[in-house]
Amino acid sequence: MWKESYRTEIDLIDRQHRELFNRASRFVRSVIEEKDLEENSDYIQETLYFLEEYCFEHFRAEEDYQKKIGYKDYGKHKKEHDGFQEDIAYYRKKVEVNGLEIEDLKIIAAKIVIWLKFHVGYEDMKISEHAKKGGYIK
Amino acid sequence: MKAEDINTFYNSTKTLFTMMLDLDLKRGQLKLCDEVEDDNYIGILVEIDGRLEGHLYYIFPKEVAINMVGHMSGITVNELDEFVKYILVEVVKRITEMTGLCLDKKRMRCKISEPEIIQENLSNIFKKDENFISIPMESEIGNFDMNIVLKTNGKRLFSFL
Repeated sequence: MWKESYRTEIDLIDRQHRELFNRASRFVRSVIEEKDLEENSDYIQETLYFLEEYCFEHFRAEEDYQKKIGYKDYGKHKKEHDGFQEDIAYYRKKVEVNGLEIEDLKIIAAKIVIWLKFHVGYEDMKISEHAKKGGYIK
Repeated sequence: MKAEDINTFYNSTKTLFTMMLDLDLKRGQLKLCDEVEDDNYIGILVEIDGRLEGHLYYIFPKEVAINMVGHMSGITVNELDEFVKYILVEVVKRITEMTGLCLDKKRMRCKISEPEIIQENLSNIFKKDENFISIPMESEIGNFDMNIVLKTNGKRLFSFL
């Protein structure tokens, strides 16, 4: 899923994005391509936990950076972060309570793909442009 | 007019496909149509209301829809399941959000509905006597159609044909 064109040229954010894409890709592959979900049950649940925790850490880092550079769309951007985090938390809890249901897993896999591609490929590029214009990155 | 209003939808489609799927879309020859393909296709419909009125209707051959989602997610996708449908709907949703912002800037404020998947009786979307513009969209992993009927001040926007 990761493309070089997603690089913001902000080191910390790029490192975290790569890790997010890497873990998200493996999660999506395990849900869509694997035949035996039960066999992957521990991995799927662990990854949902990881994504929830890592998104929290990454979003805070990205939001701190936005504040530091005076990014004008900080509020809108944070709202997108909060919405995605709520989605991941909702499905992580659902899986914990109901177990692995393939339809739920397919929806969360699709949400992860679409959100990462659009948010990183479009919204985060605006932060990068703002940082470049302000001379924060060269 | 107003070719530019229809082009706003086309440009957003092209931009989103390039950004999210890494696919360069080319526009085929525009057609004025009165029926749509029904078999082995999946449709996604959005209604448009406001300064412009009408609907936008993407029609993907099922195989192309599956290929596109596989290409976008970087995995092998074999069936047109909830994963594929959800992603297609979300791509169209983002296309229409982008289009809505562009129309707002031109003071052509419109309300655009949530995309809806149509898998059966695709041809019923367009009234029998209603012509629509079909814009073939061509990509390296398959082609699909963007069909559109738009009216402004009671007139259909066909003048760019």
